[in-house]
Amino acid sequence: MITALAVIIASAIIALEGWLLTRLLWRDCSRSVAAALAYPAGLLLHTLLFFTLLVAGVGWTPLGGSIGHSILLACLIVGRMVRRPHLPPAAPADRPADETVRRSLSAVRIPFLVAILLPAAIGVGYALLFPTYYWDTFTNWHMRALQMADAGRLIADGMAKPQYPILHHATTLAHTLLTPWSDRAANASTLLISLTAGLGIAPLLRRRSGLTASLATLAVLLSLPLLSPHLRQGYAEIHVIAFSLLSALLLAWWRDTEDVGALRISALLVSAAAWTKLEGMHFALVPWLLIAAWIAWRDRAWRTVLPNAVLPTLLISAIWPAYVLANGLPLTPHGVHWEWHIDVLPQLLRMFTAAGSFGMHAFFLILLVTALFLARSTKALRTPAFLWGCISLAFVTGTYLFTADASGLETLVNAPRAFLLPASLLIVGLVPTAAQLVFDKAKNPSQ
Amino acid sequence: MVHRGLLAIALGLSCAASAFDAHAQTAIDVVLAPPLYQRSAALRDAVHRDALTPLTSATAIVRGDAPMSHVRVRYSAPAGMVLLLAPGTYDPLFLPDALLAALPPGVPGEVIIPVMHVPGWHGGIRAIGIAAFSPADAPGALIAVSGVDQAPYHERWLAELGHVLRTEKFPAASINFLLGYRMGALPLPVLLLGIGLVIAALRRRMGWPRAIALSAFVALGMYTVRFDVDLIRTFAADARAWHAAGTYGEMGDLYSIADAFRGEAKAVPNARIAACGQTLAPVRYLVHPLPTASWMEATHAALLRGWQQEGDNYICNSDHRRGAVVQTFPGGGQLIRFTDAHP
Repeated sequence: MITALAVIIASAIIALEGWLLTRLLWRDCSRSVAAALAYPAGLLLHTLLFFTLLVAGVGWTPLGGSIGHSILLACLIVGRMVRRPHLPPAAPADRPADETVRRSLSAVRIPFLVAILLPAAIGVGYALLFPTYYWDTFTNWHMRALQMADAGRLIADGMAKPQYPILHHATTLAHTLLTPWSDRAANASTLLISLTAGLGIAPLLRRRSGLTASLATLAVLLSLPLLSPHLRQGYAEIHVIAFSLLSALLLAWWRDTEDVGALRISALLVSAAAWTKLEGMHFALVPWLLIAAWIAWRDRAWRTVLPNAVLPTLLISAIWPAYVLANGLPLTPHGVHWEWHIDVLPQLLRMFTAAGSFGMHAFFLILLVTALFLARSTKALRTPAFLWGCISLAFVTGTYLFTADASGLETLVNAPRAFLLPASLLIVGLVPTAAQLVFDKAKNPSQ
Repeated sequence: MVHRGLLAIALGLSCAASAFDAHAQTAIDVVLAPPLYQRSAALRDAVHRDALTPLTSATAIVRGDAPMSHVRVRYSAPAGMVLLLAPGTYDPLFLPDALLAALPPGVPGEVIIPVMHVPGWHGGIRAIGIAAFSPADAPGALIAVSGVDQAPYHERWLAELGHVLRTEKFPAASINFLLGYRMGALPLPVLLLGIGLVIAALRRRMGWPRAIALSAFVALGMYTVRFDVDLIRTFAADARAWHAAGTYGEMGDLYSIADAFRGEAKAVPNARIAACGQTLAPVRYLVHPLPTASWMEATHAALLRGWQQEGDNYICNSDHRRGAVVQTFPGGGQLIRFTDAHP
């Protein structure tokens, strides 16, 4: 009970910081969107505080952590008082784009709701009722967090893969400011990232595409078979995905509305992805930078994009790699060995079409692209989420075809996990438009 | 009798295959083999539950000239033997989908085993790997193994249709990949793609783009329903095991053992724990900050699988230590305290 209370208090403080930060950087953000983004955004601040305390030699102690969070909160409150937001009168951004959509549950939406709630409920059940189960959590994620807390340092003796970024560790250690380490509390803390990301994705999608399309997208996303075991928590892939999806949707929001606040939060969240896992750096941050640069070049918006997004992101994301290099460690524990491995291509195709990790989704996405091309509705193919998905798909595929990591695809040790990010981005890029094509026209054929 | 009972206990699986009687050989029931991490223990239990006798094993690859639906096995085994069978030319011990068949004692004996029910089997298979296990104190041997093709077409189709009912094997303690569903040689996604395209063709009057997108949603929905059944089933099974016995998948009793060791460590100075049947990584995390150690240097040990006991002598990977049981757990795991002087 006390542990549960500690998780709630620690998460509430992080969410409050995130909420204040979101409202500070995005003045026109509605309350509901700010609330949904609060925990993911606050985690980046919490991680930077964790990093600062451990590098400064203070360690992750109740006193140090409390003072640090108090200072953070005070700064944010002062910043918000100095720069009061002007709220939109009726929060139009929260309304569905399609005004004909009813708020009631239609026959189409009920299966989508079931498809969302079932894996989510099972994921929550596993995370809260069961102990940690996965090897990588035993050896890497939770174990490293414990070692960091014990040693009061970010890189300690006997630590496996110490160059992995630390957002996951900082998140799982948040409750230890109030109570001793608890395995369930650690999993609950990371579960909140998944849940709040889902709650954030829904209104962002709904604003662009309507309620049905938003539900359809979340349902398709959560029906990715390999995503279900990840919802149990214990691996960091799902959190890189969560931050990336939110960031991609905010990038789209910025393109639609030219509201630079959305761009700032998008940059913040992609930095959080880079602080979560090395793959977040390669397959989230780099594609995000490429897309932001492309938009800036095409719209001649360098003056907006550089100071509000690209430079802060680079600055925040570079801190951890710089620290790793400064400590004499290579950036990746695996090394990079360039090799040509076209021989794994059949295995790659088999993984997408015949095995169970991606189920029906590869065919599903191909059918959707075909349908959208035939409908001459190629807007979806230019959304940041779709572009990001294509770039990260190319990067991940290249990793397996051109490096010694090909063995990870041959044995399926890590490849399906790595492809979850591009698959999720492609789903969020394509499904809203396709769902509109199928379900909204069925309601109103004249559209 | 004994071998049938042992098989049921060891596996607890309900996939029964049809017996096939031909030419007066004994027809054998087969069941799907348990997940890889439970396989060695299941084999050991199925062969010789009471005495933890080491197994002898033999492996044969049967290559038929024609597609095979059954395998005819002549063998000699005074105490019976257990066979693992899986399509292909790999050692079935390491393949996720395999069948398990318990053979009665026979010197010699002859059985005919249906192999159509192993997921991945299809009409075209011409090779099957067989691993045979028998107790070391009553060793058995394979005399002759051959593939036969005796099933009528309707039985083949029914068997292939039944493959889709095989529960998705959620990976043990590592989320690396999922196997997916097949019907014989046909992966379920390909079948659903075909169904989707038929739906699109039937609904083309609504316009090809909408018809294709609709068919994509329908096909995905069908796959999701199939997958969600296994998701619920796995969750329910895990929850039952956790609630009833405190066991969880591959980790078995390890969580309870770790808790018991924490209690022990309060009374034993410098307590450190080793493990048999599990690597030290999960143990290290679960007993943190208490230390772990090798079998020869530990004060306690978590016994999960693969250990042997001779009186008060406990053997793990050929290392002997004297010990006493502190606690035995519902999943069969034990926490022992070493009683000999450790280095």
